[in-house]
Formats: sequence, structure tokens, C-alpha cells
Amino acid sequence: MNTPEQIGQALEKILLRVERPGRYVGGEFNSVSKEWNSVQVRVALAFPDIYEIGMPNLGLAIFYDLINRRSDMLAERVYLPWTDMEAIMKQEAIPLFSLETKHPVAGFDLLALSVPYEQLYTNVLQLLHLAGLPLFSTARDETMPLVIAGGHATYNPEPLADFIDLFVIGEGEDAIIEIAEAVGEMKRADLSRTEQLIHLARFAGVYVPRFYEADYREDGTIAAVRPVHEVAQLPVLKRVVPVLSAPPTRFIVPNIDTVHNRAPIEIMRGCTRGCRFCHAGIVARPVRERSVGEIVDAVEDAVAQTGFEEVALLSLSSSDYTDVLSLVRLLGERFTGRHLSINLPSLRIETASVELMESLRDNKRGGFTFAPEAATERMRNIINKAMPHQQVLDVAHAVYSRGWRTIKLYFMIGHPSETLEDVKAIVDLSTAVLAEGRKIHGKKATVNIGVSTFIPKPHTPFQWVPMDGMEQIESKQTLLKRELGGKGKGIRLRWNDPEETLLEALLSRGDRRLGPVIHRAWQLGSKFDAWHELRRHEAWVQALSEQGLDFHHYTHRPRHMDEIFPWDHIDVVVKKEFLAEDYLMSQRGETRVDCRERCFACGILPKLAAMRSELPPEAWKCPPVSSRAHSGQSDKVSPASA
Amino acid sequence: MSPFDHHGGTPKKSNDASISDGAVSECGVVHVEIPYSRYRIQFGKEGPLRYCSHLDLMRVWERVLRRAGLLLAYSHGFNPRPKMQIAAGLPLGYGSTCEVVDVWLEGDPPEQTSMLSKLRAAAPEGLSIESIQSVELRSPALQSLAGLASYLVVLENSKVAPDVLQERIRAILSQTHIERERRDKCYDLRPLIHEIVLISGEPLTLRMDLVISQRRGTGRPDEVLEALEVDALSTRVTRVALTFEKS
Repeated sequence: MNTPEQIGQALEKILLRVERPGRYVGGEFNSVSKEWNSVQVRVALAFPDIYEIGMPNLGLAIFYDLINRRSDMLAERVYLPWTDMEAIMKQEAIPLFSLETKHPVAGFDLLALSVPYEQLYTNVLQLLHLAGLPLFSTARDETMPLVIAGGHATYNPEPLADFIDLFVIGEGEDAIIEIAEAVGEMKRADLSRTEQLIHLARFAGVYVPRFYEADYREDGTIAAVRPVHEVAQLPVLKRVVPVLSAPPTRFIVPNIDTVHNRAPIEIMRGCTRGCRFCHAGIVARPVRERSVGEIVDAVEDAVAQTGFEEVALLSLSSSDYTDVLSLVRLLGERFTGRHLSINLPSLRIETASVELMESLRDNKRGGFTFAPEAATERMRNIINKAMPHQQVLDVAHAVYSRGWRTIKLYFMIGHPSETLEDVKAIVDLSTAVLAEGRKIHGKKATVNIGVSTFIPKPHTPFQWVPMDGMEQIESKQTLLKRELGGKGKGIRLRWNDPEETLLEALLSRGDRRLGPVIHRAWQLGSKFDAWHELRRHEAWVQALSEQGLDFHHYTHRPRHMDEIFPWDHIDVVVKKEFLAEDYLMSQRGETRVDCRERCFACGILPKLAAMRSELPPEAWKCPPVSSRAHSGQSDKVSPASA
Repeated sequence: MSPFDHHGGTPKKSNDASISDGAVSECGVVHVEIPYSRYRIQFGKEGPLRYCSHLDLMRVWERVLRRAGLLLAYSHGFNPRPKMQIAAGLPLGYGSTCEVVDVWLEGDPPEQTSMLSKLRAAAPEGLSIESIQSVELRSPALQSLAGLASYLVVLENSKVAPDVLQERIRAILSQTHIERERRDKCYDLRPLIHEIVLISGEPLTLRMDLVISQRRGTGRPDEVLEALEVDALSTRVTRVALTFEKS
């Protein structure tokens, strides 16, 4: 069964038997179905989870738009079937297919996977398997699609190195088109898969794992990751788009509900705040903003093209967008009374944020979300998210008094040097916030608390930190559940399963030895690891032990400052010395101000000097640098008590 | 999966009453009187939209209208809902050639001749817009007018012989009561069946006319198929007619 007609007919017979069949039919407004034979290069854009999770992915929406604008290329979408559909597809011998034209994935030239988080790794294998492709990169040849991957998790590509032909490290807008063009040329030139990879390995930001080998020390740490082919770059410098191009606006409009069912407009990329646990805050540098005019036009165009009732203005820290006041004022003028909700997530905890939201929303459903991340000033200084206690309460008061009834607060437990006292403070702060709400709304006021667990992510100042022990995590969660868990208290608590956190930590810090572990866990039935009901912890324990490995080495072990990490050959343009210095500062309770105000010499400017020199100075939000700023002296440090 | 945090719904009676009177919201702000207009749209739901649920279809319509540049009216209050009524919910997986939706628009009534072409340009694959007409603001709710629905049911790869099926139909229609249980409730299916006709032997095709009424209840094709000992999952059902009672 491998023609689109056969797949289409087979679907008609089975769709009534599966849950939410709308996942598998396509045909949404703004989806693009091109004539298969009218193009040179066919790209399958895949998200390795179900439709509802994958559809809102902005990265793939950007690629879909870029590729389908080209008359010589087409892009179609691929998602994983849920388990009920998977069983029927296997029974009926239906291969994984694209939503637009129902072509089998194996018939595309390029299979591009978005992998934003690590719990998707077994699903990557699942996707290749259902497509009928060999799982291991070296077992695939030029008759099969070139399998490429990108996304935030792939800043440490090593755990997936066995399965992916090449990774695009960094921002993919330019790279995906370059690669797709090259794939078309190489197809015409009849190159072998190896020849194709040799050609592509020279492209900026491209990492071809088979052209490298890893050596290990006796203690299991990395000795070196070495190129074994002359074309292999070392280090692999991430791709950076110098200036953000116009945002896509013709989003596909789903006919069924998805996790984020809205038009996403990226207003800014990168963040200058320097929170020490934050992976995105490091890897997405430098900060580039779109202009107010461009954003307002994009919102207008997206609403006209899609009819979405909700627009989300995305960035890592909306409050830091330079012209946020005039942006919000203009949006308010233009869109009030049109029954739209325009969301500005990721706002700082300050009263100005309440005013910003007030002028954007036609209604106050949905509540107001803030992320203090820690509940004591000491802890917030350690993670470099300094803020006085009273400020949190003042902002809570402002939110409730303007008519919102719900405040959501995000915290993290397991920060370095955290004690039970710091955790108890989460209880006290949440209770104090609720008390502010009760003053205004009585019993209608609520506080939702989300508590995740800290993972020492690669490329961050905290990459040296051992993760909290499982017993510590459990005792901290027990405290929170005991104090906040009861019903009818106006506080709703959510937390992460410690085993899921442990798995995420393992995979995010993994080296190449995790390839066989992922493969084995998948064989043992692991898939959809981000879904609580399907994750199988015991499969991972068994898979690790069969390879002679354990969680501890990757997650809980104390590390020397000079340890070579599995991801050190991936250059995210922030220097390791900068990260180390910042980590040591955290141990002294020292903070750093927003680096828009003062450059701390993270490494971007020298590494991307050539690119920067082509741009007007204001294109990036890095401040002008004096020669002293690069010295990294302690006089660049603001006192923690400021 | 996250539950709907926002979906269409039918306006409550109280909203109907306040439609052009100006309403007082919870915050005590008096809304300025806005002119409304009400339109009835006949449409078909086929292809990929067969797999779009009733609730999801409300949102599809909300977006079609916005893309067409028509300003849909919303209820007031903390949780505004679009003012829209679909005559009769269609089960997931069924097609239809005869659906009806009433929509309330805000502001001055749009120029009606261009509305149809704007809506068609804004419709997704599977949503065919047949006609649009202006309706009195205060005419009764669509759901209260529905009376009878006709369904065409194609039995795919059915092993039942036409004469066997014909006999089962005759047996059912000859009964005066058919006790059935649905969602732990007993009910009588028979009075909800108006007619069942075998209209073709190849492929085996039935037409069934079932009651669909707020007052008398709703006959479901899958319930009838089960009573006929036919696997409902192997059929293809299309609603082909909706009959309204006199308003």
C-alpha cells in the first residue's frame, strides 16, 4: 500500500474507529497541496508527536511557509498517530503518510524533524519506523529521504547521533532552503548518500554525526569528540539569522482543537536577562526585535488570513521588548472591540505588566501568569532572577484589583543550594498572593501553582550542577502537596513527575552512548515519553543497565569545572568560560544585570563580528562595548542587594 | 489533552432579550447600543470536515466569518460567547448536505449580495455554503424549529443480503415500542423513527427519517443501525434533509 489513492481509500474505512479522526485528514484552511510532479524537491516537515501537539509548532510553520513559497519545492506535514491509529495502520499495512496529499513519508526527498524537547527521542525512532525507514542513519541510502533534525533539544545532538543524517544547529530559516536546494541538485547529480553528506557537512551550522567520533575517559566522561573526516567542522557554530525576516501570517487553521489554537507572532528572539538555569536564554542569543509596525501589520494580516480569535505575541521576555508600550497602545487602538484576544506571555513581575495586559484584552478570562521561579530573595539571586518579595505581592494586588481572578505562578524546585526552607517559602508566597486576591474577589480568587524540577541543562551557567536526588525531590514535593494540595483552598498545585524529570535530565545531558539506550527503550515499548500514561520508566532503567550505564553519571554526579561535556563541540556562540564565571558568581550570591545595560562579554560579539559588522548597530540589542567590558572583571557585577 | 477553554455555544434566552436593548455587564458598564442583524446560512459539511465535531464546527464558523470580514456578535460578561446557533448537532464522522446555522452580526448590516462570495472564499475544504438569508432578530431559536432529519446510510462491504435487511426494517417498523439503553438511560426508539426505506441494493443503501426535536427527542442513526444489527462503524452516513416545524 503506497499510493496516495490507496492510503486515502484505506483511511475512509478506518477513521470512524479511531479517537479524534480529525488528526489524520488534513484539508485545513491555508494548508498547501501542490501537484507532486510539479516540483523538484519534496520536504516532509515532521513533528514527532500527535497532531494536536505538533500543529502549533512555530518553527515548522515558518519552514512550511518558506518552502511552499518556492515554485520548485513543496512541504507537507507529518505527525505521529496515536496508539489506536498506529495499531490499525499496522494491521492494514498503511505507512506513515503526509496530511496534505497522503504520500508515504518514505517517498519524500527530505524528512525534517523538529525536536524541541528530549522526551520526543523515542518518538523520533517511532516516526522512522512507521515510515518504513531503517532507524540507523548508516543503514539508509540515497533512495530514502535525507533525515535532518533541528530544534532546541538538538543543541546537544549526541543522543540522537545514530539516527539522524544531519543536524542543523541553531536557527533554520536560511539553512533549510540551502539544504533543500542542495538535495535537489544532488538528486539530479545522482550522488550516493555518503557523497551527499560530505557535500552538506561543509554548510554553516550543519553537523553530520558520522563524521565525528567520541573518546571516553575511564570515569565515563568525555575525553574528546574528534572529526574523522576532513569536511567535519570543529566546533560547529550555530546558525544565526542576522535580522528576523517578515513573520509568517498564513497559518494553517486546524478544524479540531490543538494545544495552542492561535496565531503566533514572534516579536523578538533571544533574551538578555541571564537567568542561570535557562537554556533558551543562552542558545537564542543575540536579541533581535521586529519593529512595532511590522508586528502590528503581521497581527492584522494573520487575523485576516486565518480568522483566529487569539493572537500570541511570542518572545522569551515580552517586557524587555524595547517599544512594548507603543506596541501595546497601537494594538489596543487597532483591535479593541473586534472580539480578539491578543496575548503577551512571558511578562516580568511588575505593575507595568498589568497595565500592558489591560489594554490588550477584551476580557479577563484565562488569568495572569508570572514566573518567579523561586520564592526567596536568596534563591532568586542565585538563579539571577532578582526581585524583592514585596514586589510580587504588589503586582498580585494590581492584577486582582483590575478584575482578573486567577494568577498562575511558576516555580522550580531543586535549584542549587536550595533547602526545605526555600521550598516552604513557595507555600508562604502562594498563600500571600491568594490573600491579596481574597481581599478583592473573596472566594472567587484563585492561584494556580506550577512547580517544575530544575534540570542542569547543557550550555547554561548551571550545566555543572548535580541535579537534586530523587529523595530530595520527593520530600520537597511532599511538603508542597501537604501544604497546598487540599481542595477548596483556592490554590491548585501542579508538579512534574520526578521520573519524567530524571528522564529529561538523562537525555538532555546524554552522550553518544545513549543512542543504543534510546533504541533499546523504544524496543521495550517506550514512546510518547512526554505522556504520563505511556511513559515506561522501567524500560529506561533496563535499557541503561543493559548498556552498563546508569542515570547517576549523567544527572546527579558532581562535576569538575574542567570537565569536557558531550556538547562542547557545539558552539552556541556563548563562551564556556563565561558560563563558568557566571556559575561561580551564583555560588557567591552575586547577580548580573540585564546585559542590554552592560555587556558581560559572553562571546557573541567576537564570534559573530563579521556578521555584526554588516548590520546597523541597533539590529542586535547588545550595548556598545568598551574594551574594559571584555575583561570580565568583578566591577561589572551588581551587588545582590541592589 | 487540554479541554476546550473557549468554544461556541448557543446564546441563552436572556441574551436574546437583551440583543438590542443595551446590556449591563458584570463590571457595571453599560454597553452602548449596537445594531445587530441575523442571518441564516445553509451549508454542507463533507470531506475532511466530516471529522470535525459539533463544538469544533462552531469555532470553524467563528473563523470563517472573521476571515470573510463579517463581525460576529458576542454575548457580554466575563466569558463572551459567539452568538451563533446550529440547527442540529451532527455526530462526528457524518456528512451533511443540509445544515443550517444562524449567526448574529454586529454593526450595520453588510451588503448581502457580496456576503455569499466572501463566505465561500473563506470556507475550508468540505464546507460548502449554499445560501444565506436575513432573518427577523426575534424569530425563534433554530433548534426549537427542527422536526425531522433524513439520513442516507451506505453499508460498506456489508455481508447482509438486501432481503434480510428489508425484513429487519419491516420488523422494526411493525413494532410499537423499541426499548433501548443509551448512556445508562432507557428510552423508546420507535416513536423517533418516522420512516426507513431500502433504496438500493448495490451498494446497500438506506434512507431513514428520524425525529430531531427539542420537544420529542432525537433519533440517532447509529441506534437505528444497531437495532437493525448493522455495524455502524462500517457505514457512511450523510444527512440529506432537515425539516423544520412551522414557526
